[in-house]
Amino acid sequence: MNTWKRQMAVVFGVALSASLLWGCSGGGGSDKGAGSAGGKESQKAEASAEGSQGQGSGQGENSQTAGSVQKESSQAAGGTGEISWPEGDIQCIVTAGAGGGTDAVARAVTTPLEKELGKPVVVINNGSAGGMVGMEEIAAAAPDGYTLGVFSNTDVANFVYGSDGCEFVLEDFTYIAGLNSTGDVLVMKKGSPYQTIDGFIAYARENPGAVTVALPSTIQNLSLSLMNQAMGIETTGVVYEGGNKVFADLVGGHIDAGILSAKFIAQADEQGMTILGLMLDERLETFPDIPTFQEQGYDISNPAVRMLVGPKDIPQELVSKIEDALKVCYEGDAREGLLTIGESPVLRTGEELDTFLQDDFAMREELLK
Amino acid sequence: MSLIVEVLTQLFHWQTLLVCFAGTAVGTVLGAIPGMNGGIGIAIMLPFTYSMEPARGLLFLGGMYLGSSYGGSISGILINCPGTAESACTTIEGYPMTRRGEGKRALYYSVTASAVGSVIGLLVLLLFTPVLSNISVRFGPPEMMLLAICGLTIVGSLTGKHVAKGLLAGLIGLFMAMIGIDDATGAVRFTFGYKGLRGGVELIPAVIGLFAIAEMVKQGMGIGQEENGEILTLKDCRCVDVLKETLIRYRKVVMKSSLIGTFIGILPGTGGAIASFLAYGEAKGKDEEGTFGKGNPAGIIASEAANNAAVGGSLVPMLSLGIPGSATSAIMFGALTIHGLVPGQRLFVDHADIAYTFMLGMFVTAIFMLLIGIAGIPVFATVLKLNVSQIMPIVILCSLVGAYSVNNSMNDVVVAVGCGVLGVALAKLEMPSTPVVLGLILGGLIESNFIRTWTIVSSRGENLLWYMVKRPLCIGIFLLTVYLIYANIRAMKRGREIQNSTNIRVEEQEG
Repeated sequence: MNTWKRQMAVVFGVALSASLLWGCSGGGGSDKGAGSAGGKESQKAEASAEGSQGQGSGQGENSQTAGSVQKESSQAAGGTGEISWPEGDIQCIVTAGAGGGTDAVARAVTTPLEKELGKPVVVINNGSAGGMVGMEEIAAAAPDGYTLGVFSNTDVANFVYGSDGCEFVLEDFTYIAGLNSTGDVLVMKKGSPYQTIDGFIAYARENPGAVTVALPSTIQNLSLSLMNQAMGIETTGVVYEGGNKVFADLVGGHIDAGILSAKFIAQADEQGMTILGLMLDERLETFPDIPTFQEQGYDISNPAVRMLVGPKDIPQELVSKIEDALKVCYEGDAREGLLTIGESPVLRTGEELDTFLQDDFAMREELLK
Repeated sequence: MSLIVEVLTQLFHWQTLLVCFAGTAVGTVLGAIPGMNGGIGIAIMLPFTYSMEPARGLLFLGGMYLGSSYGGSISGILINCPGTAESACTTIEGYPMTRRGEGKRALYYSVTASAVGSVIGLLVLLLFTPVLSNISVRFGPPEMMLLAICGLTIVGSLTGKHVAKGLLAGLIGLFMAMIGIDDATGAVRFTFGYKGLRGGVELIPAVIGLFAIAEMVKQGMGIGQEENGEILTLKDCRCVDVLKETLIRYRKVVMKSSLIGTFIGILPGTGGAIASFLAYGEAKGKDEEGTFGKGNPAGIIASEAANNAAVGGSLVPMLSLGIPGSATSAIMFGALTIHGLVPGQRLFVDHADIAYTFMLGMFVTAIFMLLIGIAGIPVFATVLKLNVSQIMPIVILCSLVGAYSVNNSMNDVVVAVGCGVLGVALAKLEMPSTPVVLGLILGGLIESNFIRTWTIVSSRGENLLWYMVKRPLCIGIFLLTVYLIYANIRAMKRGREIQNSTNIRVEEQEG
């Protein structure tokens, strides 16, 4: 009898959790008539579309098609003429853990953005599988503007071109705006005998392959190969789990050099480590003293731009509305917020972003494939 | 002089104290709920601290960190479901005490050891940060690899009756650490085509599954429980007595464990879980009576003092170098940078008020933790008056929701449930599940650092062994490993002898 009771209790607990989690993961958008449009949950998406019609909003039309053909949905929204978005919470899936660089940029922008839009923008961190899972969720969401995301061009291209397990393509997303501008820097270990580019190159040429360069993840392999090409040297990349560990081993002198994101410049400076150059076309607003490799005669450019994105086929009216709101934010709070965390606030939208991404993704495809 | 005044006025401002108290209380409660976890809590609360003054925001998160490091032990001791990996070892000794009716006593040991451990860790942080930060970066890839291998010897202390079964459980953990996308090459391993496993088996969902979910299912099925359904008695005991006992009788264990905890905390990429495993293993190695695993207070004290001391330790490299010592302090690091503060020597000069308010404030949170713990124990202990079937749905609910909240993803829920099934299977086979967690934590460390060492060595065209022999720290860690294995075998033999002699005695009495 007692065992039976206990078993019922277990079943009850599972049922409770299942219903709650179901509500959290799938139904987050249902009250706004969005529903998640993942293949498995198509039934549910239909149900939520039905529910939302009761609300009688312009969004109802949109969501009817959420589970099936996404192109139609954009036409439907286009047909309604005016846009009433946003009517509810907007969720923003950040494909990195809380406390990191991408998260900081996302929050510095979403905080003023929600004031501008008048509705909460809820940041959800999903850094699982290096961010791949979060990207999948963004790609699978309904293109109604209630599911947005933040990731960088480097991350998404690295998955699409460099990883076997990746099941989305670059065209699965709507790229709304570039939020910042940053790049990698080449940092020498603490107390390194090589304080100039010439010295570093000379040593690397003498000992091909013997120079070890720490990389925060496989993504920086690209920076490394660009560097090797431009300098005509051969170095060995050593992959770490994150910039913090790279930084630790550089301070400890366990590895010759490291390629780190520009946000480490201040810390590296504090430890008296030499930074040979920045892998961008022009200097950063936040660190004007760090020269680019370009101006020192080496063509190394690997720009990393965190972008506000959404699933593909978000109606153009909606994108324009978000762009306008962002432009207002970058006049004030978003700019200041980004500068405080050491990020250069460069807003790229519309054609500017498209051109940038076209060139950037083409470069990455060539190097990563 | 003005700095001292400034720091003290900031520190004893009612808002600062309130923030300290709130952080500690929230952390303790989150830590105590199986499935919820300090790390998750801190990640959730992080954005709320952005609008606070830097020192207050940091203190709030620091309080949560400290509180959750202690809080995990509460559910471990009372219902055999450790809230965090840090308190897995506490549970091994704590739950048997609860079954004996000494649950309250175990809780008092845990809170006093946690408080003492915290204070020692924080003292080290306050006084020796400049010296120790240099030591922490001495540990490069080969040292970290050897240290993790050294940590594996602790499996010997966690095996229970059958050594082989314990070792097998450790191997399962090591295997689980390999699942997912490999960091170095991007290759997908052991996912069997299931997408949800690409992210690997993360520690938090694994702990939730192996301990909380599995324990509830086990109790539901009546596995491993001789007396089913009886409501446990609860003997009363005085807090002061336990406090005295901790500080006098167990002073050696407390000191040693706190120092182990602080040191492990200082090393980048480790954390309270490894600290508590090592301290527990060390304490058990010194076991004279063979009572470990059956409710020995020294085990609780070792584990809890170490995991709380690791908090102070992990803040040493974070403040002085910008290298967080643990996953949780990596999240706190975000709170530091969001205010534009750059960690390093200058932090202690240019922003001395913030740095010292934070460090001194952490002592205040340690005191709050002690008070909250002592005041809360009678309340926590009422859980034992509940029927297990009333606890089960709540624990399972919290577990699955907690697993979901790690990455806001159903994948981790699936992993947690899978680990729950594994936990039940292990229990059926009479295998301990704690070595699985140890293997999971250390497996990743060993592999990634081995690959790094290998790459560096081969790029220089050197021999791996020669490269390590040239590094004195490597030799030191290697010798320590050998000693620990020896101590394990010795303890095991002694345990067997004691077992035999007690069996004989029992037989004699019965005869």
